Order: sequence, then structure tokens, then C-alpha cells
Amino acid sequence: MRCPEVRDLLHAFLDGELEVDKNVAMLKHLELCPPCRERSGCEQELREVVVRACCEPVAPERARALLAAACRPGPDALGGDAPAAAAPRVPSRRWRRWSAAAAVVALIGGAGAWALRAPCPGSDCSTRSLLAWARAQAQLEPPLPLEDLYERLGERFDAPAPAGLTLLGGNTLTIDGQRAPLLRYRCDCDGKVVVVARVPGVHVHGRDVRRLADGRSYVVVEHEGAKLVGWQGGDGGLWCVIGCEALPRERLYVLASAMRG
Amino acid sequence: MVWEHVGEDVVTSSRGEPSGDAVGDGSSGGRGSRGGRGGQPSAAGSQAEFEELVLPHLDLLQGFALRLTRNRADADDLLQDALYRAYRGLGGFERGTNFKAWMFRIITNAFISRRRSDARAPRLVDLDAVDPGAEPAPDQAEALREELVDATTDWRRVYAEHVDDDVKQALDELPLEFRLPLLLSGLGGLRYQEIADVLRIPIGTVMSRLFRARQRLRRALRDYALARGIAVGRVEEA
Repeated sequence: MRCPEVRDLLHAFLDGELEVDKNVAMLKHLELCPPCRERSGCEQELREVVVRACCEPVAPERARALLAAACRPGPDALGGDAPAAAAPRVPSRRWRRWSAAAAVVALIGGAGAWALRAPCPGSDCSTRSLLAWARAQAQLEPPLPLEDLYERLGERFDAPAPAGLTLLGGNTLTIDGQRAPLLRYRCDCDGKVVVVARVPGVHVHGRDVRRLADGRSYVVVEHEGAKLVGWQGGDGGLWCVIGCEALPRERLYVLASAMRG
Repeated sequence: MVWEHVGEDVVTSSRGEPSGDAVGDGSSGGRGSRGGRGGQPSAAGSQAEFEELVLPHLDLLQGFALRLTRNRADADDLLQDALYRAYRGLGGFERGTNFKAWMFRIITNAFISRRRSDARAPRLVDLDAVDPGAEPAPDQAEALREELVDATTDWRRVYAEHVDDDVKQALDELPLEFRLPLLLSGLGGLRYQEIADVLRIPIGTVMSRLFRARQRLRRALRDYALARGIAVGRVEEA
């Protein structure tokens, strides 16, 4: 693929509208062509600027009032006393807790990049999850063979096995009393190691959610050289690919897409 | 035998027996909000599910409503109306598909029907009738100059220096026929075809409006940066 064609297809690429083969050709070209990569980066940045500017935080009290009104039986839910207007705006204890969670996240993801919500009211597991997660990232033990990992977890599971990656084994991560797998893969092409983690019970919500080339949404976090591309799994948890070494961001996107299947 | 509840995955025992049915209700410390799922759809259950689906997207839904209506009171009404419709239409949401895109479609439909039913409001835009080709073609020399300025702009600097209010203002100044596809794509994550379907316009029109919306937006951001005295590249005078 040559530069003029890349320019023509760039918007469709960034909007996730390209066929798989064209997508791959685009990724290859962008990896090798700095001017096109710069152009693509700028276009992507404009998209992110819009999402960030349009994210209008709803205070938990108001969220509760909105949802309660929406779910209220009877046709009068839209009446003049719509809680949208009357919702109290006093910060609640829960709001402070979420703020604390957001502060922890800011530590990892850069200021204001994320906000996380506990999946269940009254739980602050997101904070603890992230602390545990950050600790685990910093202190990875050598990987256990998969059979040992299964034994430690007390369960077997299907580890993602995308092409081009070799599973080295994994460790466990204890979050809210649950053990979760933290798998390590080596890229066949250059021997670099990536970690794939599942953080159960964490609902991701935030400003740094990006739609990548495969058309699906991911959370992207970069902080002090560490990069993470995560997505909400069907099991209500967060799955993520963490680059332990200096992997280019685009590589992580491709890996996350492959892991997701 | 050790059982451990890990999300809603089918967990297998160490002997490898599939046991998906056994795990669902036996989880220790189960999550309250999931209580109504899977069984008969009691009102409380579907409400909990609805909340779980909506909460992660509520900030963006509110942002979308605000940028559509451009004022807080109308945005509040629109969001409330859309949530009300969504809860009652939850049966029509196909589980496992993109809930955010589904909500964006509902808000869009609510917004369009409000505009059409409000006889007092002038119809600023008829979404079916607007033909982007009808816009007067810019003077060719002016277009060339614009392209030259684009090419010599340091866009990274523009985006680095922007403030959120610039972006909101630039969006609000876009005509609705450009703003709506841009928001549906950028915030809602709708595919081109989905945007075409909800706005009832051809897919080619969606693509050209998206392109032009982004072009206008980035030029507006550059102008705001210039107005604040920020140098964003070599602007060559014609």
C-alpha cells in the first residue's frame, strides 16, 4: 500500500470501517512510514479531543435520580417533577469514594485519564483492584507453568492463544479475595514480553476509551513508559494487555485485538 | 474440589468437568446487582441490569445530549426522556451487542422526534432534505489557501493547547447535519451504516459529512488557538 491510498483510507481506518486485509496493510504501512503515522496520529488525536471534551461527568446522586425516574412505573415519569431538574447535587460519600478511586487511577493512568466505577453500589473493589494490579505490575514473579497456575487458581480456563505469541505461563493476582490470572506471552517476532491480565469485577468507564481499527472500544492508559490496552470482558471484568517493555502502542492495539478474538 | 467464582465464566473443576450451571448462584459474596439476571425478568432485576448497562456510559450520554441541544435544560429533558424510553424498550436490546450505540440511537431518535413535534420551534434542519452538495462551493483560490494553511499548521500544538470549552464551542457552531454524524461516530461509536440508518441518509453522505465536520472542527480549533496568541505554525498570507 502506498501513501496516497493510505491517505484516502485513513478516516475509514480510524473509524474501524476497513476490511481485515486492508486494515493489516494500513498497520504495516503506518509502522514503516513516519509521515503517514504522524498524519494518522493527528487524526486520532482530534477524535480523542472530542471525546474528552464531551464527557460530562454525572454526579452519582444525579445518576441515581435519573435512573430511578427512568425505571419508575407509570406514564408520569416524565412529568414536571422530573428528577433531572430536582436532583440534589450535594456530593455523597459514594462520590468521594469514586473520587478516591479516580485519584488512584490518575496515579497509574495520568491525570484525568480514567474514572472507574465499582460494579456494585457500596463496594470499593475498584480501588483495591487497582492497587493490587499496580503492585502486581511492579513485582512480577517468574511465570508459573500453566498447569501450576491452574492448580493455584483452582480452575482451568482457556488462555487466549493468538498467532505469533507464545504463552510462557502466568501468575495469579488476588483481588477482593478472588484469584485472577496474569498471563505472560512472548512475541515470536522480537522476543518481547507482554502480560495479559484479567481484573474481575471492574467496570471501566472513562475518558480514555478509544475505538481502534477493529471498530471496538478499548481503554488505553500510558504512564511513565508503561502502556496498557484494556477492554471490558463479557464476564464483567477488565481484560488488558500490558506492555512490560517498550512496545509501540500500535503493537499493543494489534495484540489486544488478537487476544480479544 | 475447589470452586472459585470468577466473573460469569464457565468454571471447570480440577478434574475438568464443565459446570457452568453450578456456579451461577453458588458464588460466595455474589454481586447484588446481578441478582435479577438470568431468571424470570422481575422488575427489580431488569432495573438492576439497566443501571449496570447505563452507568458506564452516562457521562458520554449526558455529553451527547448537551452537544445536541446546546443547553442544559433541554439536555436534561432529552436524557431523561431517552432513558425512560430505553428502559421500556430494554427487551429490544440484543444482549452482547453495543449498548452505548443503542442508547445513542435512542437519544438521536428522541431528539429528532422532539424537534419535529415541536411546532413552535423553527425547523432549523431537515435531516432528510439537507444536501451537503447544495452548499456553495468555496472559491477555488480560497480553498487552495485553506489547504496551504492546513499543511503548514502544527496540529499537535493545536490539540495540545486546546481547552475543552473550545471544542464544545466549535462543535456547537457546526450545523446539525454535520454535528450529528460526528457525535454519533466519535462519541457513540456507531458504524457508518448505523449512522446512515438512524439519520436516514445514504452512507456516502455520512462519510462526506463526517469528513467535512472534522475539517471544520480542526480549523475552528486552530482559529481559537491563534486568537489566544498561540503560534501554531507558519501561516502564509496569499
